[in-house]
Amino acid sequence: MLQVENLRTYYRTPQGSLKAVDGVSFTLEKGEILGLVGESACGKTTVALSTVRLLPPAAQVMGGKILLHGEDLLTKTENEMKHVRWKKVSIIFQGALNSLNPVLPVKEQIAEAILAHDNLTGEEVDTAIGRLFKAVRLDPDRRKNYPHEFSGGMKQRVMIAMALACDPEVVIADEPTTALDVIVQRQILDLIRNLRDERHISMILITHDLSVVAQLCDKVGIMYAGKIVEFGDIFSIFETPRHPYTQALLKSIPKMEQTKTQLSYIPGSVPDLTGEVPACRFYGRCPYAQQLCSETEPKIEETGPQSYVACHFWRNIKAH
Amino acid sequence: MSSEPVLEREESYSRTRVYIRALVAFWRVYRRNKTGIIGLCMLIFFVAVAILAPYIAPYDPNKAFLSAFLQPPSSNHLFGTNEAGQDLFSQVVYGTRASLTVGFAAAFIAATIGTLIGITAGYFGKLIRDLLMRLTDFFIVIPALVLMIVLASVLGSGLTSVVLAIGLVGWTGTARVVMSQTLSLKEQAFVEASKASGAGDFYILRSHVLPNVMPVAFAQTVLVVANSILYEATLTFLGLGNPNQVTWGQILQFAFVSGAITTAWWYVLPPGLSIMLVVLAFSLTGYSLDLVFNPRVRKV
Amino acid sequence: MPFLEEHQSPLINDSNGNTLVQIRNLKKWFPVRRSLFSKIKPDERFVHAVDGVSLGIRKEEAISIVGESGCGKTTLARLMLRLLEPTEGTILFESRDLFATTKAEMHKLRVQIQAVFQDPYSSLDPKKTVLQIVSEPLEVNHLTKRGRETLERVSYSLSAVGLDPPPRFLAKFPYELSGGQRQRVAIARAMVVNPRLIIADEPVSMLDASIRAEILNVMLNLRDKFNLTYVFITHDLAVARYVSDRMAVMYLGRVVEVGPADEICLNPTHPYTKALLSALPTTDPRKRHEGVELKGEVPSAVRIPAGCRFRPRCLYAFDKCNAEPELIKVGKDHYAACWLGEAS
Repeated sequence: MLQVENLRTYYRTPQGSLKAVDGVSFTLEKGEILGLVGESACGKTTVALSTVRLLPPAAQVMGGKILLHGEDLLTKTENEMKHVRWKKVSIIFQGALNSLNPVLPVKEQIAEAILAHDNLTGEEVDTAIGRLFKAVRLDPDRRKNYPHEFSGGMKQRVMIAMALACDPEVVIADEPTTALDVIVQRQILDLIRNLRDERHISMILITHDLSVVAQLCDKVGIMYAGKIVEFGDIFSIFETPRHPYTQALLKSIPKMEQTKTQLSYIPGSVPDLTGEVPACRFYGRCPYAQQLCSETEPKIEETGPQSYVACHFWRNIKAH
Repeated sequence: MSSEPVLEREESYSRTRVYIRALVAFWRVYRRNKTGIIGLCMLIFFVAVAILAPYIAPYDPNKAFLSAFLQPPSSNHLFGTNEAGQDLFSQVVYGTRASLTVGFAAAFIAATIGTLIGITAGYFGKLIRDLLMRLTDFFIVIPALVLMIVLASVLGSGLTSVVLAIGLVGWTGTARVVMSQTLSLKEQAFVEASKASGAGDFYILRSHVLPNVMPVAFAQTVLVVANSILYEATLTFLGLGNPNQVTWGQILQFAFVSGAITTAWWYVLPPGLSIMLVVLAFSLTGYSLDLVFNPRVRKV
Repeated sequence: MPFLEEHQSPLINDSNGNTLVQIRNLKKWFPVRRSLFSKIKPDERFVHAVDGVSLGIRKEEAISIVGESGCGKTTLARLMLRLLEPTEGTILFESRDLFATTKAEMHKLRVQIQAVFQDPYSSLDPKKTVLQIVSEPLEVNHLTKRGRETLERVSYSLSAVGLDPPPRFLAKFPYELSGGQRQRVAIARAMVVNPRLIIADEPVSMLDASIRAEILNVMLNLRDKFNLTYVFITHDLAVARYVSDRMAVMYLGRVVEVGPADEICLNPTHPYTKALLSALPTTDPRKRHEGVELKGEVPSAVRIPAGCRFRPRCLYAFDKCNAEPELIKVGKDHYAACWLGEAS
């Protein structure tokens, strides 16, 4: 349903061109939740912004296709995109709960989103908001309240309601639970899953937290330094990770189910994406790195139906 | 132990080295801004003129050429002469010194007062803050020029009074900017961390608040210098300066008093233009400094 | 002040002389800030941030204080650092009352208790170099003379947290370092005065999941090497379990359960602890479990519910819950403030 092919988005910086997203491809079927996982600055937010064409002025899509039901979103004009945004694809930005206008009642802010994309009367809008509130398990009577009268978790629900306002097919959620407490986080995750089950929405969930992914996603794309280094369904990623980065990530989450073991971490830091990028971007932090890794970029190789990995030596590495 | 950089003497990590590095980093950002560079060049030009005045001015500014009263520009006198026969070019050149000095001195006083009041108001409790803010409001509400005129008249005529008058009135902008910066700094974790390490209030003010407040205060002050030069010109024009000291405002005052202001364009244009250009230079520079020092890019 | 109830005393003071810090019935209430026209009801005048905490911290242990935002854990940390004064109760450090000391004594005590804060981006002064930042506690407490000695102590501290070789980092500014490196600098700063107790307030919650282990391991290694005692404040139970020996769960200003970390995670007694554990996202996609065992939202700390403060949200409340329970022993070194625990 949504197909991203070889997306490349670069940022103009005084130091040169920052290759934030450099050849990212994935597919999303109806009703699927795809998780895009990676450290900060790996490009996952840029992928999201590229999809809805809301990139900052310094960023530019340099190539690739984003196909929604076969139509390339990247070739659409701004006017055409207005019909796509919110009605077909909507987005919940990172830290969105802080972006609510404190001087307007919440109802009006959602109404703004609706009216920007649909022609409805005031009454219709009000009913719609009531329904949306119910959908996100908020008391509809509270829609007249101001943002400061809501807790963090409730504000996030409001943002989710706003994203659902025009009944989109795809919702992109960028770090929807990062600023929230553990219990509230769980409630939001459960809410997201229920919404998907009820409305058959497809979702792209962007996060750096693998346990959120484990809880919610059907498919996972592991991003590193602008590329997807491994992609696959949730079980194979967790049970048979192939890419060294994936393996390292999995080893760094503390697991409640087992007794204490020394957590491992990944030494070093992400390469500078403006300068010369060594062929395999994980080179330098990879425990299995060889000469070849610093010279040639690893090709994407299929490891199964709708799974792939980008590593020269994935066959030799034991998936623990 | 590795063979990498060996622990050097403390001097290598000293404060001066740190400042130099900070300056270099700042310059790299600043030079990208074209307006800033233009402003800076103009400033350098004027400062150079001020410093090199004796070498640039062809004559003593007070020397009266008895045969040339109120002469338009000529090859002898590039800007012409005034009604006393003095060479206006030399006057304007020497006037740069006084005008700039007054501007800087007044701004320095205003900056010091403004910064001190700003950090005190921002850092300590509500009571002190309210008190100081009401004081600041008082100075803002009353028209600055009126207050300066009153102060200058009270202090007696002369450039020192002008400097004091401007400095004692012009601190409000700095105070506000510094106070709001201090308020937000106070909440930063590194202030809390300092307290947890055992630092007292004055240490924190001196060592953490002040350095972090300096950039905004400095950017603000550059604009205050521009204003000070304008105010100096105004106050001397109104007759509150020292008639024996050549400043641009003083030149304009004589032009006005002698009645030549309507007829001798060469009398009025150079000092007026100089004031305008210097103010422009400071404004451009101050604006660019502000751009550099305001953190617009935050790492998430 | 009869705060040493019989079933509490081993909690506060381990009689083997093993206790480093005793928190005795500590309370911190903040007055509610009123706008000019709002009427404040008599029982809504205070935010009861910390509302009666009694706890003992043992020498060289790592104990986590766990809870969601608003439970009072951060306020508790600030009280331990003496950044706040208590409304009631007190804290003893090695049997000395933290809040009754003279200025001179406080200096010596301060040095023994240091802190690492949550945000690696704002806990370091952006205008100072690593050397200046890490040497500040030494300077402020007049522990070294300028020059060689400071350099050496700072370098030693940097080395201890893994920033090797130290000379490479001394002249760097915070913006030149990664999040993990900055947090290491923060730890080095806390370590440089040889403290006995380090209070870490959410030390890894602002770091990417993949570098959390890095910092946690640094802290654990330091504990072994320097015989430190740690108090970790966190909302992440998984982190708490990984890093600590004992865990204390806080809710609305009180400790509701405390005991060995593994024990609490495997056999939670208090319903709130159970809810927290059930809320943790799974790390195994095959074991996704449904929902949290909890009702409603966190009440405000201004109006503490009468009786057991957890009662309105508890799925197991019964009639005894009209009275607020104290911490009752429910297992070896395991206490819970819940009437259900009485049965066991």
